[in-house]
Amino acid sequence: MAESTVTFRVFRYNPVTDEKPYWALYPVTVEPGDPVLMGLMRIREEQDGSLAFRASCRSGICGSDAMVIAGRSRLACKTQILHVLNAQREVVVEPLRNLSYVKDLVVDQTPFWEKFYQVDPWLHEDPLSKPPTTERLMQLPESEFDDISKASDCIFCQICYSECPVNGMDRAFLGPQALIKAFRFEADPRDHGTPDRARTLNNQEGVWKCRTTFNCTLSCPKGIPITKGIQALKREMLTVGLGRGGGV
Amino acid sequence: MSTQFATLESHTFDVLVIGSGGAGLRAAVQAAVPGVSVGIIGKSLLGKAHTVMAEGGVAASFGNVDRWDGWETHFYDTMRSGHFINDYRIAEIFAHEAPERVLELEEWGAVFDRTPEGKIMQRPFGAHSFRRLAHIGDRTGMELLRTLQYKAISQDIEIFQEVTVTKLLKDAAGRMAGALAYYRSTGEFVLFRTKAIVLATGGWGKIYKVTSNSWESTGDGGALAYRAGAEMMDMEMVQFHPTGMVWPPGVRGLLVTEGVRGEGGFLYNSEGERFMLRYDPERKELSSRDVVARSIYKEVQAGRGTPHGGAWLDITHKGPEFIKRKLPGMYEQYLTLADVDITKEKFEVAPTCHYTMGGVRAEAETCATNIPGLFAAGEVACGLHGANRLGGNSLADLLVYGKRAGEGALAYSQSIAEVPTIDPQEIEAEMERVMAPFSITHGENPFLIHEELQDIMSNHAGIMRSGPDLEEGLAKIQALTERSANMGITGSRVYNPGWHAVFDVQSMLALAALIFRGALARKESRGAHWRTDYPDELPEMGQWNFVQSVDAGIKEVPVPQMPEELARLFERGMAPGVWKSQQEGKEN
Repeated sequence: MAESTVTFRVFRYNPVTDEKPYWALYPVTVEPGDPVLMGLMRIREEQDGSLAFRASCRSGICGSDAMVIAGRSRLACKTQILHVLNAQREVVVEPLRNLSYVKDLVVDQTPFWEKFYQVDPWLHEDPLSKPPTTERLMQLPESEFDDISKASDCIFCQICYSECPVNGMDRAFLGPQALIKAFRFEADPRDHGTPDRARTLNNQEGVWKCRTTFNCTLSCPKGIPITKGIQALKREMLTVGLGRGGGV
Repeated sequence: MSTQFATLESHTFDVLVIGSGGAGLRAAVQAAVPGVSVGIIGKSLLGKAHTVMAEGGVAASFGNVDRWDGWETHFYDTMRSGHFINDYRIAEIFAHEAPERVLELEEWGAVFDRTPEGKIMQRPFGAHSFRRLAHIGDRTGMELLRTLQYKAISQDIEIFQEVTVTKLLKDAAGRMAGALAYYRSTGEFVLFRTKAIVLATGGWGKIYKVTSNSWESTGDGGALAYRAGAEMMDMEMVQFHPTGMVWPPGVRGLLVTEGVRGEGGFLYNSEGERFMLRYDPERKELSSRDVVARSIYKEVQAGRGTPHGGAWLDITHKGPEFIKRKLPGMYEQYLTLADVDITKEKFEVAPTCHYTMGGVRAEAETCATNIPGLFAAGEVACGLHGANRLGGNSLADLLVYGKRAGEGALAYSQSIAEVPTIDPQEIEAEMERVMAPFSITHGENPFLIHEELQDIMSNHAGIMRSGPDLEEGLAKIQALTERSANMGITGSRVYNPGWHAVFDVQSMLALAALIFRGALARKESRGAHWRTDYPDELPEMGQWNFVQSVDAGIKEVPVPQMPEELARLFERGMAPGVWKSQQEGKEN
């Protein structure tokens, strides 16, 4: 296994001290198998301790280390350095798109959380039924179980939000991530929250803004069919509009 | 008074929860009844906590698959695997309440795999007498954390993300009164005033070089509590899982599931010898975790380790189709994280630090600690697991005791009329301390201090321990602690990882010393604690827990003795449910 040296071209910006963002270049010795996250860790430990990025589990489960690498939003821990080098043997690393900068590779996720809260992301119980006293037998049809299960896989990494062109043009759009979370509950037969959620989903900045470019589906590191979920929400909102879903 | 203090942002809650993982969220959900204000602080973003890493499942004795299972057997398994230094009352409540807590989670929206009858599915796991782990695929921890996250959002709970607490604050009477913290994004201070605090900050696996833990697991909560005067128990008990990834460095320590060996994988040393045949001819690769971990360790020590200090794990003989079907997660993990195709190549594994059994001593009914107003739950707390934790018991732990800690803190807060007063001078002094690293130029690099700490722990307090080694390690930790006073950083307060690392390192150094002291005091081998100079488990030592505090140093405290009706469960030398199943077998 041969070591080699590559250059990390990293977007740096500290709003307190820098007038504008700049590129910093760091030589990093890499081994085959090293992910981009490892390179960033080494820079932070050996060259500049103030380099800011988020990371936790380093195995693609927590979804903290999403960033734009070689032009695309991806998880740094699941991206091999040797797979993303450009002709100059550089790894180009930038913060996620569509969110404002906090520092270096860290973006402000507040807009995402606000939108996420707007879709009432919790199970709305049937107000008329009493909670069972013993174990509830639950046999979801396999397809419904799969739908919920897939949508539950979301790791809140913001990659779909960063890759969505509609989010890029209209910051008010709910965005794929909040929508797929809404779908996770809408697809759950135990949930009774459609009337509440329709207030957010069934309007200009809700499901109808989606232009089905499939960027979200293509970029999702967990392979969630996000666009498909949004389309299902659109169909559901149609029935709500027709007065069959509890109505808004 | 400084301007910093005059402009200090401040929040007041009835109950403050520190830690936004499973235990913290469960506590917050419980405490947030109408009229009671609850805040929850997380060091990272909501939903990133180490709880998401739990794969196997949550242990609860429903008996959905094996009908003989029941709380007595879960209790029996937990005490036995803990080598009987667990607090029996904590384990008893735990075994009783785990099923209720799991069902409740389902009411809140969690999805579990089902049996054909539609009941919650349960899978087998090491040292559980029956198939007991409720699960959804291999992402049970994530489902659990998400469900609690959603539940918390639906309630009136104020959530603070990316906030680091640097000190727990008490009033003149010694009661919990608040916490000083700073926002990681801006570096600005924030003061929390409160009647009660639930500590749910997880463990300290990052103290070791090779660990399955997330970067957050730096023991902040343990150190905060210890400095505030809390009692710390069983600190010597650190669990090592036999198979973690070794190479490349970026993935070192990540868990390699037991399933690889379960599905037929073999372990080899550098000489190509299948060494488990020598250490345990009967169970071979599927021997118990501590035995496999020690065997790999011994091979490396004897100079028969792999290039990066582990053993080879090889499953290529099973063929690509079999491997991809039976171990899809592992196949993908190695392919995407390490660029290794395990259907074609053998790969390196080595023991990895997985869990810290020791922690803040908390009482069974309410999770109260010795500090009035401080409650502890989850991995930061101590008492349930004894000398060894069972797989699946940590998720059940954070549900059962997260709830109890929330209840305990709620009741305590309601017994107090006013939020206790904090001395402003103490706050000012703490702000000065936290800012100090900025004024040290050319100081020690916190990241490098952390690396040295990890080396010391791995070499002196790892899987294999001995008196002289521990003494030497403790001396090194003390020297490193002195050097760490000179940690300096560059840059501004805005999202400065170097600055954040300073406090992580301080926490880990404090806990490292406690691990050494506990390990020196326990002159025997028991569960995860293996001493070559005392290789046997000694009944005399089994009577004691070692409790450490700033005020009283280290002392022996008797392990609580079970009442007769519980002790009777162990008389047959087999789990109650197993005995029942055998009786039934005889009758038929």
